[in-house]
Amino acid sequence: MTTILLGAAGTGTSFAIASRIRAVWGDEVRIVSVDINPPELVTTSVLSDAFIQAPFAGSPEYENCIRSILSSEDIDIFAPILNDEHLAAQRIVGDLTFGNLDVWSSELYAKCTDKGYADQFLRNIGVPTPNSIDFLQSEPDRVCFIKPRNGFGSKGARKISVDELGELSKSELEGLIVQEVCDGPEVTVDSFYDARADASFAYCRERIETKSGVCTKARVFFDPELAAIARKIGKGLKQRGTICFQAMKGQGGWVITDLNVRSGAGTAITCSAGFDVLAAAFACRTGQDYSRFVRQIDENEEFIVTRQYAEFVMAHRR
Amino acid sequence: MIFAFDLDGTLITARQRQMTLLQAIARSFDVKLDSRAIWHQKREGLSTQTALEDAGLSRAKATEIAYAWLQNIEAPFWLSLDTLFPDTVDVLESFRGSGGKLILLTARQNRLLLLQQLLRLGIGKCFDDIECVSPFAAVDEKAGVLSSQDVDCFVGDSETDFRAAKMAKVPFYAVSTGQRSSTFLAAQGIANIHGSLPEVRETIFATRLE
Repeated sequence: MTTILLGAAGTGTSFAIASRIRAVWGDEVRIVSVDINPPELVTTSVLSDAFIQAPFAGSPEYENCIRSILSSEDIDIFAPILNDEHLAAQRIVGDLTFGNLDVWSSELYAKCTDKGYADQFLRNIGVPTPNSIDFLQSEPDRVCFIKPRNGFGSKGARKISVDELGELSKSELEGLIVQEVCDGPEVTVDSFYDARADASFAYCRERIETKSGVCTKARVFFDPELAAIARKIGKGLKQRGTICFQAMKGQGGWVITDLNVRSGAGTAITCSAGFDVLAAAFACRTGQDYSRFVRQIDENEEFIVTRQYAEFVMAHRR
Repeated sequence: MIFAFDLDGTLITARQRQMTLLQAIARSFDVKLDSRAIWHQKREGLSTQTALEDAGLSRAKATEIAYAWLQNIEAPFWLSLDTLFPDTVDVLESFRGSGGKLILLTARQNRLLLLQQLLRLGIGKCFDDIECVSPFAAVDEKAGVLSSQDVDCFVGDSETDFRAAKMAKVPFYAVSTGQRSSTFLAAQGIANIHGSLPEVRETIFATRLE
């Protein structure tokens, strides 16, 4: 039996992965998950065979906690979600104690959690990104788009004027990426790529409605230009599994505004449309046939998917 | 010819949704379950409640968990754990290709959620008719549909399907991929038991379409 350790179990990303593993493999896969919250506050725990409350991923104790779980739970696969989890995973990868561990990350993945590095990486492999702005050379009323170098889930990403940028401290500015404002719509691409077979399947999601940062209505479709970009990124990352990235229209066409070296919470939308890139990722990493989970969307085909909250009774006490 | 197919356990998986939900509910009651053992028991004909009692739970606790399970088994999230068997689409297309009319005949509490699930799974369009009957009167209502639609054969995975077919005097072809094991199905007097949908197709095409 394969045992997978899911990081950041409280995220929608982790929940989506656990859901699709359970849907396809049921109890043939053992799921162990970690989060800073207790199990009754983490929905993924209802899908997990074991749940461990862990320290903050950014704390020094986190790595030791994960090392301990890898040994005690006899983990075969570690799927890091948060940026800090990818960084910790890289320190663990080189440890011979865990020689047979499959980590859904790489040194390059870990580096790409820095959005500045990711931007440079994309440019180096010929993938267009938004133009950087030297705000010192710009008009005060020019509007820029900023995002934290180590951001997660759109936190801290916003439009700001050059004038307002000038009011930020040097250290604040050093932690930010400053780019041109791109035109909507913002499209998220769920990209499955198997570097060993050069097999690429890209699914575009346009947000029709977003509530508190969560996409609640989406259109799933195919775009040949974005599919070509997805393949290029997959090759560049030596990707084996599923990631997602955001695209918008810049001055010369599609530009990649954000690269996530993991799937997203919204990837569940693509899965529900029948393109199970999360099951495909698990199958790919475990040497199974993934072809039944993914197929090419036709250019004239689209899916409209809406989302509603689901309730889970996590504990029942008397 | 008119071919009728049951859904759960016949065209889509049954175990993943049922057992993942049961585990989730058991955890909320701080009860540890061996889902493999429970599933084995259910495949041998036990109800969820009896299987839980057999696993050592008190009658009261088993009743509480089984009730919560029944309340949630058709909730949208849990339905999303159902997946097609690998050969489902291929088999349905070959039946359609034979010129046959296809009917989906399933026992579900909520028809609208069924239709939504079929849309998600992409198999709704394979059927000329979708019949959703009450799970609490499945034998009678399925038999009624089989008779009124003049169905030529029915493919299903349970003794309920078998009894409905028998009542309607329609040939029945069982698959042991779902709710019941081949041993249990055989003990019910079912002769045509198959390990997969392609096997059923082979038998039906050899016997019915000659």
